[in-house]
Amino acid sequence: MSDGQRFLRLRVDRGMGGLVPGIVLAILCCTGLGRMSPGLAQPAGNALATWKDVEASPQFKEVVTALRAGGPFNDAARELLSTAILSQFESDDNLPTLDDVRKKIRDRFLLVIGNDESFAQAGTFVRDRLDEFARDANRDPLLRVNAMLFIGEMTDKGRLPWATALSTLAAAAQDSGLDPAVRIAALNGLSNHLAALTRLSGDQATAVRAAMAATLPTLLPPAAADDPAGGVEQRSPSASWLAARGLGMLPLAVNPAPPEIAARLVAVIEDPSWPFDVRVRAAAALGKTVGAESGVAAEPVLKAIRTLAIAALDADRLAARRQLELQAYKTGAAAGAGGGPGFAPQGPMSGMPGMPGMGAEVPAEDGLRSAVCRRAAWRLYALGDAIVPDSKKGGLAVLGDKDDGGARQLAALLKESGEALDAEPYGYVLLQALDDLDPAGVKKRQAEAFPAAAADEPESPVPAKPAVPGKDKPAPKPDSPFGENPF
Amino acid sequence: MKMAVPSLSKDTLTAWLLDHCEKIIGGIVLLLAVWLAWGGLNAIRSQSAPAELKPDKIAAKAAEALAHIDSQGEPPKGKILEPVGLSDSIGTWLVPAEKDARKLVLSRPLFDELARRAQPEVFPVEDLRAVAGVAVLAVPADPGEAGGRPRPGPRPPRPGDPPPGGLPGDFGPGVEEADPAESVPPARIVPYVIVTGLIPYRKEFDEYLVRFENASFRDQQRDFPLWSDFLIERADVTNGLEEKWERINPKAVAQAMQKEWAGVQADSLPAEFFLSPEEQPGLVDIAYAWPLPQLAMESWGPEAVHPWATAEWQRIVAEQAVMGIQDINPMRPVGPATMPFSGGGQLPPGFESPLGSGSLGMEPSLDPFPGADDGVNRLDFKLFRFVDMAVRPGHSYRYRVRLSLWNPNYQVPAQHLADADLAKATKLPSPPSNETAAVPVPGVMSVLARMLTAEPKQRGTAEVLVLWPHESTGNYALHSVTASLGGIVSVQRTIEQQENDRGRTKPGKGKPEPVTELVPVGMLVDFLGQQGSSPSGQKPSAGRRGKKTAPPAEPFELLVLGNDGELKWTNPIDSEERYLLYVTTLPTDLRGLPTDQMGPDGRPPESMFPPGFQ
Repeated sequence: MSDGQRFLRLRVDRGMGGLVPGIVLAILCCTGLGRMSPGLAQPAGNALATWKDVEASPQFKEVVTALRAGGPFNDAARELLSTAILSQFESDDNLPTLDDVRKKIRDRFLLVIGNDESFAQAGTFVRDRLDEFARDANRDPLLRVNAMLFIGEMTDKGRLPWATALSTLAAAAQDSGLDPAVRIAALNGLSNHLAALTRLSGDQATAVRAAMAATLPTLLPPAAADDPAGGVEQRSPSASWLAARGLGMLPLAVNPAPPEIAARLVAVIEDPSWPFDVRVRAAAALGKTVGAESGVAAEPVLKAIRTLAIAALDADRLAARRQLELQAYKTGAAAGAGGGPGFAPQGPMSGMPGMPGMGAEVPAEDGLRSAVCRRAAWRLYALGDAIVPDSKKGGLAVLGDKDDGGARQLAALLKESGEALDAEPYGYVLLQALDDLDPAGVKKRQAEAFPAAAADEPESPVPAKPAVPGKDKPAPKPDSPFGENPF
Repeated sequence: MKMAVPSLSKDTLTAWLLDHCEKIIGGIVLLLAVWLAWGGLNAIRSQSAPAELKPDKIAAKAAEALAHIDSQGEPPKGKILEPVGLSDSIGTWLVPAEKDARKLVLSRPLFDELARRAQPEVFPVEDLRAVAGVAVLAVPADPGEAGGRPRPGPRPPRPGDPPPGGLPGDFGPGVEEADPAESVPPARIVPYVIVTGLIPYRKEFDEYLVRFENASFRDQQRDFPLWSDFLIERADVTNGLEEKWERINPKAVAQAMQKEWAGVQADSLPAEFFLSPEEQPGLVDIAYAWPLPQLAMESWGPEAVHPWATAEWQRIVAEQAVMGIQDINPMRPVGPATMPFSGGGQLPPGFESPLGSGSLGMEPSLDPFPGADDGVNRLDFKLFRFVDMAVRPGHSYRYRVRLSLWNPNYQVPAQHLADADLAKATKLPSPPSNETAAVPVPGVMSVLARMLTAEPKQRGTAEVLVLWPHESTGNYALHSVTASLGGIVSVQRTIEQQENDRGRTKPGKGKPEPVTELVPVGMLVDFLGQQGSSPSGQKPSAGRRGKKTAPPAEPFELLVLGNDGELKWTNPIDSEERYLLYVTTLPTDLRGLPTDQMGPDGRPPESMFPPGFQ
């Protein structure tokens, strides 16, 4: 069975052996569950398998006509929603157009309801039922995510986000026990509300801001306890994505940031367990929301930003170097230069080019691709903008009481480096930015790139070996394993 | 009055002693008590510590001395001690006068103390690890062989295909454009687990040295470890299943490999990292270092060897670089160039005859590397590797290994053995190795992301690239899917009608018709950043006159929920290598590379392809 077929439960090929029990089970499920929960059942004979079938059905036309005319949200409408409309999320025939079906259910059923009370009742019914779907771990993730996306896309008749859905979205986004994909879908819904913040009434806007302020701490949990291995345990991709999403929404919702949120952002900037992009986004969010009442000390944050910029650039440099080594390793394997079992290598350079020794020919810094450089450009510019924003509003530089020259200088350096790197996304520009930000580390990086050459330089941090008089070759290191041969 | 003269007779003395013995004993005790009392009184009187030796005074003087030492950076002039040559005087004692002693004839025993042969300990494989992945294997060129796949030719036209000669990239009127998916070599996509471990090579040699150096029966061909076959076991622990260890038959796997693999790929490590054929005699095609199958478009990377080996090799190369050695090989080449597949091993000498070529009283060299006294490093371990391709995507496996040695005491005369039973077994098995951590086998589908020259036309959508096995070539092909949030990511698959009808053709239709169907492979959950980027640094949001450039754009990232239930986070940076490898499998109009990365023929320049691409 291919992977793709697993998504289509009805297309799963279990062979003839499982066909008969499967049919019996399906019939039992349809009849039994249909009685217990109308929202789970498909109409008999699967007559309304697609949205087109639903729209063409007389029941739909009858109910919609009545609702459009201002009729009540009665049992017939409730029955239609349960048995035909919401079950569209579970129909395999809708899979290719499920996102479109979401919009059609909203636009052609909910938004045509003429009576405000009926509209509220129908919306609440749909919201609650889909919330159940989204929280049911036994259902298909596809259905669960789309159910939460639907709640986030619900609007009132004025096409503004439906305020009644806000609490459901916030509760789902804050629920750390929920599937991350569903939480991300709930965050998408919250972002719809935030995007319409300026058009909402005062109370609604306040409610949206409060919901987001309550959600953000759940997206940025503090670092776990000490890792027994002594290293830093990286956050999971889903946790990082949730954090990135929340940080992008923060400036719209919370401005200025209260001390507890500002402290949480500072903690993220300094926390190496988060990916670099999340930490950069935290700095950007802090720069846009920080105020005098946020209780943030400028100096340590600026230091953390500089450290973050250096660490991100250096990580790109080292990753490119590792990539070069990997490619060289593969090249050696492809050419058979190193030889397999029984094959002698062609020389000391053949096995792991790119290792020290090959560095004299191929600088380790090569291999920084343009996409990596552009990402680094965004990081640098975003960090600089967090200190001195282009909008001239806020920024960490305003926190300095008297002498903010250092902050502005750092911001200018970060922005200029980012712009230069974006204009010329090449490795040497990235390395120049790294040297500008971290001049103290230049020698160390040079020594890493050219170890053999660095060993010959008297000012190199690597101590030169004393030469054996009368011989061209330098003496082996005292701790050389070659000198410890017991055989 | 005349004094009575005391009698010295025996009776008198005895009576006197009996009358006065208690007084004598009491007097002795009294004298001892007085002596002890006098000693105590004398100690209190004359031997109590003077005031300057009280602890507080000593501590104060020590602090004063330390302060003085700290205050004086250099010793006072005239106080520097002259060298007395102490090191020279004791130096002679540090060098044993062994050479001189050896000159004496009688300084050594005339006959070494000979011992009976004992059974050596067999050390297990250490640090066993497992790595899972999906390999794109080259297929045998001969289509007649099992698993062989001929290179696909042009396919028949299908509904919706562009008219012949109507699009760029066509080969001219009358020549049909080839399916872009067939621009890559035919291949077979196989999930795999590579199990690697460390054979304690030096430790085993040392063990043999201890056991047989002074043995009464010596045989140069027996007294070095010779590895025999190994046992590898696998347990499927998917979803916390109970461990049920299953033996893998290496011989059966090797036979299947020889039929299904197009060839083997040489390792990037020197031969010294592997047991030589001479060290594993009798293993024709199940050597300890399992060969790597030839890949269709890439080469195996470090995942195919144990991390210790790559680190060790890096260290050796770095040592050479520091020493300035450029033209010599630190590793001693071993024997003829033979791959494990090629066999070449025979039963160890001595096993075909009961006594072998053993000798009594002779002193064969116990140097395991005769003729290699060049001072180079010897490796502590040799690599163990097994490639398991009988694994299923979505399942998790654990592995363990037992190795064995040819018994060096096999059929050795009993008078030379510590125990006569030692001569019976042919092989000596080791204890099991450690069990690897559970390694999940990934699915064959991959999701990639790339930058586009412009944002997708429909707002709120993003392009997702799916690497999916192509039904004709067996290799991967890229599929470009534009999806909105919550939208299904599906790939188009063309199948023959016969396949669709379970191998039964409909009556009256001799030739099966191709049928296209959509296979859902995931769902777009979210995306961040902008996917569109203008070439050559011209930003989409730049000012009209280009004076004020827009800030660098936020990087584009995708989050897709795969049909295995896992969230797949990808971005153009992580996708670039595989995207460039398979970009030609996209239709020409969808290749969409930024213009600064395109070659004149619409393909990426060859320099962009990863090494190993053919």
